Amino acid sequence: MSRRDDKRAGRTGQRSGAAVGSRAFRRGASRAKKPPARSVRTVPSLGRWRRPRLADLARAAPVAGWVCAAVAILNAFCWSVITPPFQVSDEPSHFAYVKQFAEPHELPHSHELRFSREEEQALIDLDEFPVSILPATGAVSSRAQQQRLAHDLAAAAEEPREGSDAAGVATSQPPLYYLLETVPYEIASGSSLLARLTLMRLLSALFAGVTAMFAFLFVRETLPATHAAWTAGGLSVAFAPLLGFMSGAVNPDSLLFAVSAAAFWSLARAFRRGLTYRRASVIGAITAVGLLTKLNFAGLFPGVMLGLGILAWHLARRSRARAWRAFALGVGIAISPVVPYVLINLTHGTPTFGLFSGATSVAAHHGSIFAAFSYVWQVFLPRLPGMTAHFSGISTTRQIWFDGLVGQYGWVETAFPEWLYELAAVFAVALVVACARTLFMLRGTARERIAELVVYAIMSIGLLVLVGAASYISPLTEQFTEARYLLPLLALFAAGVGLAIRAAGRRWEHVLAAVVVLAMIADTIFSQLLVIGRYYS
Amino acid sequence: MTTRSRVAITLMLGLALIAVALIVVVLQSPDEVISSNSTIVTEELGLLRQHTFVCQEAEGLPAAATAVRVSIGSIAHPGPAVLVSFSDKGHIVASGHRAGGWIGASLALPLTARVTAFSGTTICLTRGPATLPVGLAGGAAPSASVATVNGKALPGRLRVEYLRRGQRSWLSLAEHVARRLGLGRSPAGTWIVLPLLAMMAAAIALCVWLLMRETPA
Repeated sequence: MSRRDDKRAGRTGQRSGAAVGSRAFRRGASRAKKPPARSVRTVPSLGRWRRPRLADLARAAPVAGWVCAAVAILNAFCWSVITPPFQVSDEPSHFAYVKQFAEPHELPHSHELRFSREEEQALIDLDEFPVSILPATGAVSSRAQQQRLAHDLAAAAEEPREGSDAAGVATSQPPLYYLLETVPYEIASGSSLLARLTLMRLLSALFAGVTAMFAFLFVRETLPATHAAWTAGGLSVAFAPLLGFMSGAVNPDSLLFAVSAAAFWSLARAFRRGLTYRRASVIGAITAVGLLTKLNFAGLFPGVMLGLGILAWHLARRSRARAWRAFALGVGIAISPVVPYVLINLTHGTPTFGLFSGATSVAAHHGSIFAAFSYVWQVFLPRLPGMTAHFSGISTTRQIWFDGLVGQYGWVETAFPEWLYELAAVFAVALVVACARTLFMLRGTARERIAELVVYAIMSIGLLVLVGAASYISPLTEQFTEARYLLPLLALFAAGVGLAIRAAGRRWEHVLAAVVVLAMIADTIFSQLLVIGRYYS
Repeated sequence: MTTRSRVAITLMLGLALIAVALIVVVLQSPDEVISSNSTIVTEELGLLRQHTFVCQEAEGLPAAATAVRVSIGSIAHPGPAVLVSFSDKGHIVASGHRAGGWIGASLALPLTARVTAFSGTTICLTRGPATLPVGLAGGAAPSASVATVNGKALPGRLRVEYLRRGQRSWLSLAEHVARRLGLGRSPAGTWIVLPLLAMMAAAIALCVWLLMRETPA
């Protein structure tokens, strides 16, 4: 580790010791060098606003964080090349949304799977539907097919550009991600549809880097005394195959994962250093971006608001007025996208909260609250006595979530042989045990930081409830749940890896970090081979 | 031994292990399709529910088949156990079983017994208990040859493929795979494999460098 990073690490350790006063964190502080006086000024006083410069922001993350980001981007780039066009969940719909945004500059309104002629032609020539559902049907296999595809796309490019009012499941999503994707779309507007798709995928891949960076920074804030944990957490996220797979495609999930990791980081930072106007604004801004990115972020929203409330409550011990102002600032910025959305809906006579209003009424017709709770519980956990079986014959915990996180690709139909998931389960159980051991060892610290932990728990539960409820209100044949819906919690996964590594003690924690990262590398490499075998053999 | 040495040895051993596993994988042969009933999947035909039999006549079962793949799907939710049987003039000539927990838009079931060729068999599918439905997909067919659910006609025919262990290893297919990887995209070309390998190698190299850099001497 470089001297500069050592100093930075020492500073964080000392601050946490001062803030929390725990033995565990003081251990980190005692090893650290005294921070240079200049660093004190980097924490702005309450109410003082210094406009951050780009160079300051770049320096705010250490080299290790940037390397984690670079690794994640490279990994997602690889996935963007490996996965055939439109063979990631709902990619045709998300592409159609961007096309509608970029061509007639309008939002899609219909949920039908009826795309522009240019996109339909590409989907037909690529055999998108049979390839997606039949493992024996691989991607384009002959030069004749390639030439026909190139010819048809060139012919389509000659015609006037059009979008489509229908964008399937993407139609109900907020517009931010699609707005950003219009940039690469416009840059490649003179090229074929597939060239535009390639460039759009590369933008998504950059968001994987942001996710890994914020996961790294989150671990640095939450486990400041364990340097090995930061790197292992960041690299584990960077090599997570499902993150690379989803971020190598046109899908708002890529931005959602990044914003969610940023939300965890912003809260962790404020919990350790105290709430200021700037930190409240950052939390609010990240939340606003999240709400504008994908509806799933609404699951994290209650937890973030609770976090802001607790932080303001802590601040109120020093200044009640400032606490109220900081809280109002954060909440105001966070809900700023909701207000125009509600106003637009009210003026158009559509449900006030859009899809959520409809979901509430549908949920009410499905039965009692207990029935809903029972269903959502079983989406994630084994059935308890007294609950009606919704997934008989299936272990959802294992078969949907764990196996999915280890690796299921394409439209979730491309999977490893069963023995590999069993092997991964042994490794995962060992990590969970190590993580639990560290939490037990640090129970004093955990007690002191209980409010912060509760906030993370509420954010997680909120997301799980949202995912489970979305499945609950869907028709029986459309109750899709995929492991990717859990990736907004990647920052917590990184922290979990960090906690597990800490269980090895100072002597072995770097070795364990290397083992965990190697396991993630192996998962990614063999996942990529699995997908290559699926589409190109 | 210093911590740095321990980490270096761990990384070397780990990467070597991954390399060995990689070699083992590429020396294996993928399954290959030896024949199919030529049905093209274009539509959903219905649902395979509990206590029902889906049957389809006029299936040519090749001698070398070790598994059969049928266009039934359970997407995003793990599917239930499924049983398949092939019968000829009322006698079961081959059967297979797949345990619950599979996901996908088609299902491969290993056949238990060594199969001899039959030209006009009837394939029947039934499933184990589970709440979630299993979708049936297929393509249009003359009414005389459509699949049936408990004797009731479906709007088309299921796609059925017959598989066996391939003759060529992944390694010998590498050139074919690389060529195919370069098709159906823009920019297109086999050269795309080189930046792909370079990017993955760079990611691993960066990772190793970072782990070593962050380890105290």
